[in-house]
Amino acid sequence: MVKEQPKAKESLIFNRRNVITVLVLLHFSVLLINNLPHTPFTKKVQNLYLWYMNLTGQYQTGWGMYGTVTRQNDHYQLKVYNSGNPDQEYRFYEIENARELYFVETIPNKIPVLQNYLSRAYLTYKQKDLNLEENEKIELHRNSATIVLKDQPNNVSTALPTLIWPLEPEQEAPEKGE
Amino acid sequence: MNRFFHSQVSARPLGFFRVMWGGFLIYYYLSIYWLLNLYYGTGGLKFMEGLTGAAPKIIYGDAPAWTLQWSLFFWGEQSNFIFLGLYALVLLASLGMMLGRYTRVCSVIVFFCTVSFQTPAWWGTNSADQLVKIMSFLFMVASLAGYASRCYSLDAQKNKSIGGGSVSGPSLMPAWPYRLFQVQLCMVYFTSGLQKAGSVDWQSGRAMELVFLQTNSWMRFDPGLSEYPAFTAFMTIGVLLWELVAFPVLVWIKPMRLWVLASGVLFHLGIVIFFKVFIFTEIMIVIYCCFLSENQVKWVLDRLSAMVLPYNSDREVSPPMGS
Repeated sequence: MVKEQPKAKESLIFNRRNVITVLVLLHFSVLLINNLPHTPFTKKVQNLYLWYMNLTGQYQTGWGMYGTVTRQNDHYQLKVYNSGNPDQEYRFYEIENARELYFVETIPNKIPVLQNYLSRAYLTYKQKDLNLEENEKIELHRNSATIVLKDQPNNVSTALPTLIWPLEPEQEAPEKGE
Repeated sequence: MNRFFHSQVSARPLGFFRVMWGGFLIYYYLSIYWLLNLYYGTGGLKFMEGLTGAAPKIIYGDAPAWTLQWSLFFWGEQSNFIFLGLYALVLLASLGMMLGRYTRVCSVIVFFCTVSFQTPAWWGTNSADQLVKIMSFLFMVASLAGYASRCYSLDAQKNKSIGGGSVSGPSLMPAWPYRLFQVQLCMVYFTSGLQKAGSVDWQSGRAMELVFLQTNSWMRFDPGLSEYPAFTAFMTIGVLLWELVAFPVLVWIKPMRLWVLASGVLFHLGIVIFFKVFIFTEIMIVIYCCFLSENQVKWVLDRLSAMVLPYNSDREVSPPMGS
């Protein structure tokens, strides 16, 4: 009986319940460290846990919506015009879909080559989505102005140059216009 | 600790949560098809050289943070057959999750497809999509452990009909699968609040004013609230306190829980009424199900059945309080 005591104690420690508790606690610890702002501490320990976060799709890059609020009031639109008939009126479409808006909003911040890839992919999709005819061309426009708070001195917002991305395969950088 | 993780609780809320999650996944994948096609369809962004062809490299300092990031799309050429096949498979698996049929297998398929579709999709996805990926892993764990399909599932019905399992009485399970979801949810709010608290705009109380001035694209309509800086400053502080303290702390206090969840639903509905956001409102409200008690789930289901079958609803519907 005396000899069996350590074994009984061991089985008490390594039972299923305790193993689950330890694993879940480890998971929570990793979650917490991964969600903390990046510091020398998180940098030091990240190689210990990143493999787990990435393998399980748990990697978390931050949840703060509007964490840093932009000072620009952007307006994205799609312009459709008939290239075969310049006298025909062009038309503008608002981008109502939030995910589409989020996608196009990333374009201006990229390097020109990447802007070209992303805008072409999006405009090709919209071309089909809007059922455009063969001679109808489509462009992505961004109009923007700076946001100025009411109590700030010189309370006048400044219009920024319009950026245009046409659906041109060879286009590498946005044109500045208007 | 033992009580927190291993006390026996009802499996009904998890079953209800699984049904909601499956329904959400179907809605999610139907709404995101255009973006997936943009990445994985013919001439997709994923297969353009130099774009997302390799595993992403997120670098903090000098240490690469991409170890073991993976996607089935990293190991193959563009193929509409594979893309559409995986898309159909994940829709089918989402339906399986909702109905609770082959739940274990479906949860694994949802996890693999979700990670595969999202990891290379750098543009057009945000933290809400990240949350879908996280939830799919947690549901896989809960399903493989055998708890997600104990109630409100075809699997449970099948077990009952062949005489297996113990579905006659109230099905009990340990609390730890619930804790996985609950702690993750609190972590989302707390760290979101923590990040905001470190920003100058939020400290100065001007953040909501700035948000309400973005009238051109991101707001559905302009309610004119930016004209009232005192009110928007109050809102700024309110959001901070709610995310940092109110939700992550008060939701653990049972008498407060329903009120906190109700305030969360209002908070997210308010966001979606004013702002163009995608998925985040829907997924957060679905995750709230992990905090529901058995009585609350029964109450919701009774109300739903009373709405669907109004002439059969003369039985008394108990209030949602209590657990």
